[in-house]
Amino acid sequence: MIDDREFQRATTDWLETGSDRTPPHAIDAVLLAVRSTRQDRPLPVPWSTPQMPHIVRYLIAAAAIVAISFAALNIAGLPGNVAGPAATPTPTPTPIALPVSTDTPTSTLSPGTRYTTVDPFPVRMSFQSPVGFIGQIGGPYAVWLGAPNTSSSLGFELSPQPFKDPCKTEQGTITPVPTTTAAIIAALSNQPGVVLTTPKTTTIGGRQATMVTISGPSSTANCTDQGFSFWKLPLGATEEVGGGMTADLFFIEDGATPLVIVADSRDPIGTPNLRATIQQVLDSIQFASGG
Amino acid sequence: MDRDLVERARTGDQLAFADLVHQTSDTLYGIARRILRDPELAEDVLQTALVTIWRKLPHLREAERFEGWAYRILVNACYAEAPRSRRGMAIVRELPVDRADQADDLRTLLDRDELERAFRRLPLDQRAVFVLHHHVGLPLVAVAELLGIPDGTARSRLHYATRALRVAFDEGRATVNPLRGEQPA
Repeated sequence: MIDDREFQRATTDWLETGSDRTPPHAIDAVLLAVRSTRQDRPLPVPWSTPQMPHIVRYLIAAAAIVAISFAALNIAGLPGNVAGPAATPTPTPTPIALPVSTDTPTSTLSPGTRYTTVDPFPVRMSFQSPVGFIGQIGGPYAVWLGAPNTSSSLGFELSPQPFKDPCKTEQGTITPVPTTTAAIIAALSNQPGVVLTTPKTTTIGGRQATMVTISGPSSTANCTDQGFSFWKLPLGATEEVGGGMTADLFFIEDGATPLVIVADSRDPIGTPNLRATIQQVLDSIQFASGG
Repeated sequence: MDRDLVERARTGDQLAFADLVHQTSDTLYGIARRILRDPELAEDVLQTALVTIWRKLPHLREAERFEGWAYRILVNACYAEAPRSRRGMAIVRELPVDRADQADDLRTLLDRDELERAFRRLPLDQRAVFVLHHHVGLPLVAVAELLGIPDGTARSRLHYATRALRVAFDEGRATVNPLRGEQPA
């Protein structure tokens, strides 16, 4: 039998062998990636508040999104941006393009203006902008709108890929990826820790929609990166609930995969009446014919 | 850890984050390298973890908890990336067989190889506890809290890891020394 001290000495010697100096190119790569990677922005509420209703977007594929070609940013009322009729308000003003943005998430929308989605987001829809909202087309799979200082409050998303376990996203997504409303809702309802309400039928923009409210565990402290992400989009953005957060999901059949509208379902602290504002946006949605 | 640096990085200050990276990367890399036993994979994991840390920083409640929080993200990144590791990678080491007076060095090398092989056979969760406790120097209670596991689980993972290493070490010592031809006692 070997002496304990000898074993400990040998273990320490083995464990501490080798250099811990980080290769400089690894640091360079990280700092380069950080330049094009947005931080997740929680709502401006105290971190210690357990009932913190909001949705956090993770943009882990920022580099891919940057590569997407941009449409022009037009804001009503700015000189030179909108010609002619904009100076003469009409009951149904012509929609203007929603800002397409990547690393500038605070492209403020002009209140009362009707914006429409543009390329690369494929679904043509328009909505009335509330006061102070920001908006962006994140790529071909997502459009996000948000109240000031929030990551976003309302998302229009395509091709969601539910995770096997929202608490352990490193386990990957469900395969095959569900592509119908029923299959996506079934996948969500089977996720560990997810609480889903009974689906209800409603109407968005004159189209029939299926609505469920999703929530997760009250604490996500033991989850990977302390997050509870119920799905990801093809370019990597994820949707998260849990920790007191809930979201309303509206599924609208649109082509091969449904358009999903993800909406904060409560008023976050510091943004009173946000839920009512979100409802106003939902009520104002119009789909372009054939879009 | 410079709390002010963490606070500034949390609000999106990339220069502050760069300083933070320079201050922490060696420690994080050392942990990843020891858990994964693969420098290249550890480098990949470090990069993934640091970008995740940048993204998640606004969610960190208390700046003074940055280190433990960062360790946790790193360990999770190890768990996620380890399946990519090259299984069965040979341990190649040059042995100084031409000098008899280096028998002690040889013994050290053989000990290391035995420990290395045994450690590579351990599950990642046991490796993580072992490294955080013995290399980083965290008490088991802190390791448990950091990994989000019960104290007893951390204790048992450390126990199994240590026992496996001890068995391998004892068996290695019990074999014939190829340099001197000595028999086990």
